[in-house]
Order: sequence, then structure tokens, then C-alpha cells
Amino acid sequence: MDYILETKNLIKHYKNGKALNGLTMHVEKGAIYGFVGRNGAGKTTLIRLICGLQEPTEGTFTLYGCPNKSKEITKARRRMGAVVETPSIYLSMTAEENLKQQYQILGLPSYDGLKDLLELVRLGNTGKKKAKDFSLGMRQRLGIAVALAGDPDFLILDEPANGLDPQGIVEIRELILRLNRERQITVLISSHILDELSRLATHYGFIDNGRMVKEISAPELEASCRKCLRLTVSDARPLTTALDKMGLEYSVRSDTEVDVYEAPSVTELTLALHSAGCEVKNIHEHDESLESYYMNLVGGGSDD
Amino acid sequence: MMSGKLSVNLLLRANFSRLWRSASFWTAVSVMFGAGVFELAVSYPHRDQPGILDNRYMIFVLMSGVVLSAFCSLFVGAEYSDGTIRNKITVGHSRAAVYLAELATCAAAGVLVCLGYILPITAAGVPLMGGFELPLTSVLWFTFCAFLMTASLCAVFTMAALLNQNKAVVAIICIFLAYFLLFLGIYLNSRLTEQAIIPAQEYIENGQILVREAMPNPSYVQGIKRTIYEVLYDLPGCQAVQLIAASEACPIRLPLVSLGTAAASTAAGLALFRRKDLK
Repeated sequence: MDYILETKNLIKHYKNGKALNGLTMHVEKGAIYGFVGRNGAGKTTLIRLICGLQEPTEGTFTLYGCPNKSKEITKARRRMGAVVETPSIYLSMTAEENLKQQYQILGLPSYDGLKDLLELVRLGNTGKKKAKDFSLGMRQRLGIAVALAGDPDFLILDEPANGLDPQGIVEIRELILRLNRERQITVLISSHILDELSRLATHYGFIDNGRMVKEISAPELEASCRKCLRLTVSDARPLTTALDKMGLEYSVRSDTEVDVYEAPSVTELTLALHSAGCEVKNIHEHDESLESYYMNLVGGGSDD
Repeated sequence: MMSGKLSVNLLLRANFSRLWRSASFWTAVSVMFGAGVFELAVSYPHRDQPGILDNRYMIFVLMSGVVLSAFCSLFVGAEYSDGTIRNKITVGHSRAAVYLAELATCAAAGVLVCLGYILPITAAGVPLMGGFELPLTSVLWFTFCAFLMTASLCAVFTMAALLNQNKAVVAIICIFLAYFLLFLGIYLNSRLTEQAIIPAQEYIENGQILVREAMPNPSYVQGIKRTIYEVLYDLPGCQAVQLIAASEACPIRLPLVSLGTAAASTAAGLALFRRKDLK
């Protein structure tokens, strides 16, 4: 397997505890890798380590096969772009000035392609407007443009949809998909907005308490997500009694809602419920979502 | 995909490009330029006094520390507050390159800010007020020593700004430090220029001429305390007072102390910055 990024037992200690606790992960070339975890799970810490902003306490990682302790790691980093936490842009500069800064930092010989890059992130018409006057979505897109200035083939985005309005979220999603499909850029995207991630990711890594709980591809995840029939009734007790009698697997979601995992005879079930005086209010097919998959995987404890 | 070697030159180019657009830089230059024009205006009526232009010319060493403390903390602090320092590290620039580029930019900005004062004083002062009393070599030597002191202060402010990610805290620390060093210099100057012996004095009391014998000055600082005071008096910032007082023969010791301070703060700053967890 051709991996852009591999981490092995990464540990990062801060004064107030461990942020990463032996994290191992694999990001395939060409993937959109959804890095999923609750707040404080260690997503941003991992990204900081990969970007060289911090050093791991223990463990190693390789970027394009180059070990993190090697001097060559800086060369490997030139092939990647990143937006860590907030977009890294000079607020007192225009979009074009920000990109020119990054071109200079990278030592690019000319500003060729700068206008195209601004068009790509739909900031081509911002003119002399300073970044401080941009909307959050525009700043996020400018941050991505800055990260793309070096024409990277690996892009790291830390919570890119955070704080965006629905239109901003759609724009960022379309941009990421375009970059992946048209430019073959591998994307590592951390998020806790699971619904949004499920529209993008080709691979998932679920992290909890600084550890990788599960890595899975999107097709594998789809296969393992179970379909069910969700019934909303006036009282779940007669329903569970009927389901037990019919020998069907189910789970109770609330006093009035039950998921049935095998295809029951709806007629038989509704007749049984009618005779028990239980009203059926709603029946619909339901796919287990990424959210419930994640909750089953890491449990429903509170954020740290 | 990008290739090629990254160097501190690229960062310097980017930093200077940012400097020309920096509001804090042009504000600092304007403040010093305004101060130069003001000094010129208030001294013009006294243009016949000997050495007046020399005295006015040197005033900038007293102001540059305070102005640059604010500038350095804002200019370098923006790298953290805007998060742009991450762009430099992420694309493979070394921490040392980032540090040295910020230092060189701030030191150059420091000299340019001082030139903001020097420009009106020399360009208008020399033709209007008849030039300097001091020999040109003394003026140039003083200017060289002042620029070195300014650069060494910039090195200290840059260190503070790169080691602390909170721009507001850094600004407060740097401005406080600049004022503290200046007032410490003024205090030390007053203590170290005390005479060791109060000379004999004649005075008249009830119509009689009386003589008070020469006696040791109780305010005179001596021993280890004097040595400590003298060492502190050489520090950049404090040194500003000394530079003005000793303008005609500014001792070689002062630029050497400036160089030493810049080297020590840069070495310490680099060592700590290399290990710093950036956010």
C-alpha cells in the first residue's frame, strides 16, 4: 500500500496530560481521510506534529516515507499544505497580498498561477478588500489557497467547516472534492461534523483519548453500517414483547422508538400491536449513520 | 509541486515585503519623524547656542527603545495572532531561519525608525542651524553606537515576542522593559556622577565668612555596588543616557556590550524557540 502518512505509536505529553497516547494511523495516497474524534481527542495535536509545529514525546511518523527524525523531513513537508485550526493569513493584507507572501516564503520564481489560485477558491473578485473584512468562509478559503500555493500533493485541513454557514460548508466541501478529483491531492481532514465528513471521506480514522480506535474505508464502513426499520409507537413495551415473540433482533432508542434489525412481517407486527392496544405512529427504513457508528465505537462519554 | 532549497533569504524577502505594508512600522517611523521635526522647531529660536544641534540630534536614542518595543511586539506578534508563523514552519523552513529572519527584519526596521528622526534633523537642521559642533567622525561614531544599541534592544524584544504567543502580554512586557531601562539609566547616571568629595565651601552667616571643609559625599556609590551600577549602566537602554553624556568620546565598551547583549539574547532565544511547542 502506498501511504503518504504513517504514524506509529505517537505520544505527545503536555503539562496537563497526554494529548496523544500511542496513535497509529495510515493515510493512503489519493484518499480523503476523515479524521474523526470529539473535542480534545488529539486531532489537532497530531496535525501539529505532522506540520513540525511540535515534536512528539515518543513514537514516530513518516511523511512520503521520510521518518520524522530525518533531516529530509523538511523537504517532505514542502510537498504538503496545511490549515491548522484557524486560517493562517495576515488580516491586514488583501487575498492577493497574502498569496504573494506565501509565494515569497516558498521561493517561487514568479506570481504565475496566483490569479488562478484565487479563482479556484472563488476569491478572484475581492480586490483591495483586506482579509480582516472577509467572512469566515472567505478566510477559510483563503487559508486553503495559501496552503495550496506550493502546489502540494497532500493537504491537511483541521476542522475546515467550523463556524461556517451552510453555504460556506457546501463551498468548502466542493472545493475539497475538486482538489481531490482534479488535482489528485490527498486530503487529511479532521472534523467532528460527521454528517459533513460522510459526504467527503474515502477513508476514516476514529480517534478517542489520543488513540486510534478504528481505521476503515468508506465502502467498508457502508458495509458494516446496518440497515434497520425504525418504528415510532405510543408505547415501546408491547412492541418489544411482540418482537421477542417473533425472535427479531432490535434495540430500544426511547420509550416510543425501537430499531428492528431484521425484516419483520409488518402486517403481523402491526396486528400484534393493535391487539395489545399500542398505536403505530411511524415506520421507516433507516441506515445506521456515521454518527451512530462512531458513538457505538467510542461510547457516549462526555467531552474531555 | 514545489522544489528547491529554502533559505533565510526567502523569509527575509517576505518579511521586508510585509514591513513596507506594516502600519505599525510606518507609525513608528512617523512618530520619530514628528519628534525630529518638533525638536528642530523648538531648538530653531536658540540656533545661536553652541552645540544645540548636537544635543538635539542625539535625543533619538532616548525614544527609540520605547517606540521599537511597541513595534517589535506588534510586528512579530502578528505572526502568532494571525497564525502565519505556521505557514513558514509547515512548508519546511527551519526554526532558526524563522527566528533569524524576524530578528534581522526588526533590527533593520529599528535603524530605519531611527533614521526617521535623523532625516529631518540633518536635512533641515544642518542648513538652518549651521551644522554640528562636534567633528563629523564623532557624530558618525555616536550614530553607529546608537544603531547598535537599537539593534540589540530589537534582539531582546524579538526574543520576547517569539517566545510568548500572546501579543498583548508581549507588548506590555516590552514597553515596560524599555521604560524601565531608560529610567534605570537616568537613575544610574545621577548616582554614578555624584562627586566622591564635596569640595570646601565658603559661605556667609551673620555677616561672617565661614569655611566648610571638604568632606566625603555620603551619596557617592563605591565598592561592589558601584561596579554593579556601572555594569547595569552599560546595558542597552540604560546606555542611551550614557551615549548622550559621552557623545564626544563614546567608549568602545558600549557597542561591544550591545553586540554581546544581542548575541546572548539571540542564542538564548534560538535555543528556547527550537524547543517551543507552537500552536
